[in-house]
Amino acid sequence: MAQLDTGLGWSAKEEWLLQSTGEIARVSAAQGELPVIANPTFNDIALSGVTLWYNPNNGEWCKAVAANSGVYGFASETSSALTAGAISTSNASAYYYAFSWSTSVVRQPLTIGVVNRQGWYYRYVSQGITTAVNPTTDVPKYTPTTDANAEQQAVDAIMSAFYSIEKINQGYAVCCMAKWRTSANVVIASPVLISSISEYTDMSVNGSFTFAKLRIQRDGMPFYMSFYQDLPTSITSILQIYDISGEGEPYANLDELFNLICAPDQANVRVTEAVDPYEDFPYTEEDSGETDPDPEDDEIEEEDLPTMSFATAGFCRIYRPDFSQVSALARYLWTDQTFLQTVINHLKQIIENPIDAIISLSIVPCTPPVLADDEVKVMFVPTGVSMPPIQRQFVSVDCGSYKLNEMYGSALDYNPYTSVQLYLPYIGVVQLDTDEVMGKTISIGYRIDVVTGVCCAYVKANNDVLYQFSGHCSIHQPITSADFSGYINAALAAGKLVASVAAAGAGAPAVAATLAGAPTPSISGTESKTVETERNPNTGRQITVGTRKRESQTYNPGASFGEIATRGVSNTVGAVMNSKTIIQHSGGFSGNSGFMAAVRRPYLIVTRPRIANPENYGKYNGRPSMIYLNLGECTGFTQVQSIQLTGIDATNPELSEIATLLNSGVIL
Amino acid sequence: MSFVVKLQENLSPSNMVSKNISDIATATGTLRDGTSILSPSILIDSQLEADILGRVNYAYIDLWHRYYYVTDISLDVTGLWLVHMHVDVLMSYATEIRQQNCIVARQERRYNMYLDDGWFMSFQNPIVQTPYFSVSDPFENQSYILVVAGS
Repeated sequence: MAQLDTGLGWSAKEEWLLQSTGEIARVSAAQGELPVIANPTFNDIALSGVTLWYNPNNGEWCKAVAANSGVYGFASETSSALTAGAISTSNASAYYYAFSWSTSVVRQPLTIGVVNRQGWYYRYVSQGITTAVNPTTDVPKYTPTTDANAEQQAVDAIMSAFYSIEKINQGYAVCCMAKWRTSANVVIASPVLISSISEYTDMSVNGSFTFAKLRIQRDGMPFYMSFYQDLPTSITSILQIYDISGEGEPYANLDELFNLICAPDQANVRVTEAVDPYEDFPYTEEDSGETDPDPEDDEIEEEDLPTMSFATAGFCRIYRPDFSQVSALARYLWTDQTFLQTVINHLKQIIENPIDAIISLSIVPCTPPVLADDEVKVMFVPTGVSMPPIQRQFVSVDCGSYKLNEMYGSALDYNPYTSVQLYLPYIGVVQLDTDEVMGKTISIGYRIDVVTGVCCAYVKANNDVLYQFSGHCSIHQPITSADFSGYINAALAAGKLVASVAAAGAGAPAVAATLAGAPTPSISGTESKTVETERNPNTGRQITVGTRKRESQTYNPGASFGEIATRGVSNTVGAVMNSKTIIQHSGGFSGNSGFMAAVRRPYLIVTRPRIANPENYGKYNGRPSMIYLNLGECTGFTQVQSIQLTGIDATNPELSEIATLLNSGVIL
Repeated sequence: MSFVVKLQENLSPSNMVSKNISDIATATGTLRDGTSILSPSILIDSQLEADILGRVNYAYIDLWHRYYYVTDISLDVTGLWLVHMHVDVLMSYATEIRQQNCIVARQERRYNMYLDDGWFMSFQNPIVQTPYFSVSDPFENQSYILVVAGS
């Protein structure tokens, strides 16, 4: 068995690449393979099997063939005109670039060899080149130099002319070992045809099978090598390309790759596929359902309380008296010690009535922070009653949090199967979008304007404020008889409003859900009217006694994968959960009604499906997968969504039957 | 043309790719005129005991490298058993099928339950939970608020 080699010191010798057609080509030869040749002669290079040469001294290109065919030469594209040894070797600084390729047949193996003055020998081979490269016009001319960096740049420029990605046919096996020290896709080839190997081995430097290897290179560093004898020979195998060019770990499991290469019965490698438009999309995941967070996803935090306040504006003063202080003020305003005092007060009130200075008296369900006690003055008249003025008009109330966990760890925990409602004191029951809050910590906070009693509740999912609802949380106290009539009228109006909201909510759940921001599931409905008739007992004639309206709804439970039916079972979760009548849990609290609600603590109403999970369900039906798999990896019930049968020498009806059976589910 | 037919017994479900089969008998058969190798009718030796044939529901013909379901067995007018069969493509091409790559819609062991393909079943009585939030009495403290005109 071949061994993994992750060391940097590994020196590649020969690699072989097989196209899906069964052809094989040399992949590369790397530093250290060939003996050092200080001043390579034409024969030295020709022996390496190159067939196209570049003469750096005069910029000419010429064709040559392998040394063992005995034809070499320059200056002409016809092999018969080539002359061995025509290349100048007298210049010690000369560099020879040799290219082996065929321009006549697209997708022929392309080999590029580079021999530098140190005798380092590089060779690159690619397949699937779709654009013919004319070395005379497309490849930059090389100017010999002794500068190592300049040399490398020149080599890179030449290589780039051949190995730009546009020239690679993505549908074919591609070896992108184009440039030494660059990231590259790596091709694993299978199967290897002995005859092909023989053919190319004859052209190889060492002329031996034992040097045929596969190499995986990442960022220029080889980390896998396989000897030829370890390669699979199954003719039914196909190619697979493992993209290890990206940052971090290769997505392909190296052990899996190793097995694919070394185990003939598992030598299933797939050809590079067309570019997946969703491959780099942050919200696409092949099989886990989890996605990377979007870097543009900001945290929607609640802001500070308003800093401007009527409490300090000067037009009014706002106190937070206790019960005894309110009573004392009431006594001052309405209760005189003696009849004489009453007469005197009434006379004073002809000019100025102190009750006119009282704007409101209310009860709020919070405790605003206060300053030190201050004597209440009514119309600049000291009342002798002291009470603490409030520090600010707006108060924040924390109602705590709750972690809403998944129950099933599946799609059942989300819309439309699981619904989440939230009861908010002084506001009512609101619908939350399950998809937004499931698996998150839901936090509730209130902001209360103690002057008007208006409250605003905000709902956070983790750290994001996703919902805000407003209500009214104070109860205003009547101070005079005029106040009381208005108080009653306001209460009655609020009651009517609540009733109408409740009626509308019960009758139009979809509208209510929409208003609350919840998504409405896809429901298509039909309505039919049936005329009900009876026989007139006296005349025997048929008469109409009324009409009956019948409504039916069809629910689309979500994604359905082509060809998959629900087997006619009607109690799918979607059907069940959406057949329920939606009942309004509360109306809209308004005015003083919110203050009298039975519960003054928020809570959730989570409605989850009660799943039917018979024993061995997965054995008979499988479970949703949508994963690209080799069927050899699967055991048990397997239903195929899409397959392209290849490599089966069956008749067409048999292939159709196989596809049909796989689509309906088989046991592996 | 005569060939060897392995008469077998299959106890596995028909949708199992690699079936658990056992050989019952081996016979020499000939293909009846007008039938195909996909749904052949084969005449075999009538010397086979009827009770043995009663157990046969599967067959393998090595000549065609195919496994077959036995769909019916009857006695021909010539006194030979006439075995009607239909190819079992799953068993016949089990190796090749296992080499296929595909997108799997449902699988017994490789699955992702966050995919909804409409197969979830539930009872009519859902689970209703009513959890409170953590602060037990957020609005229990009440205050009078008095607003008086003037500074």
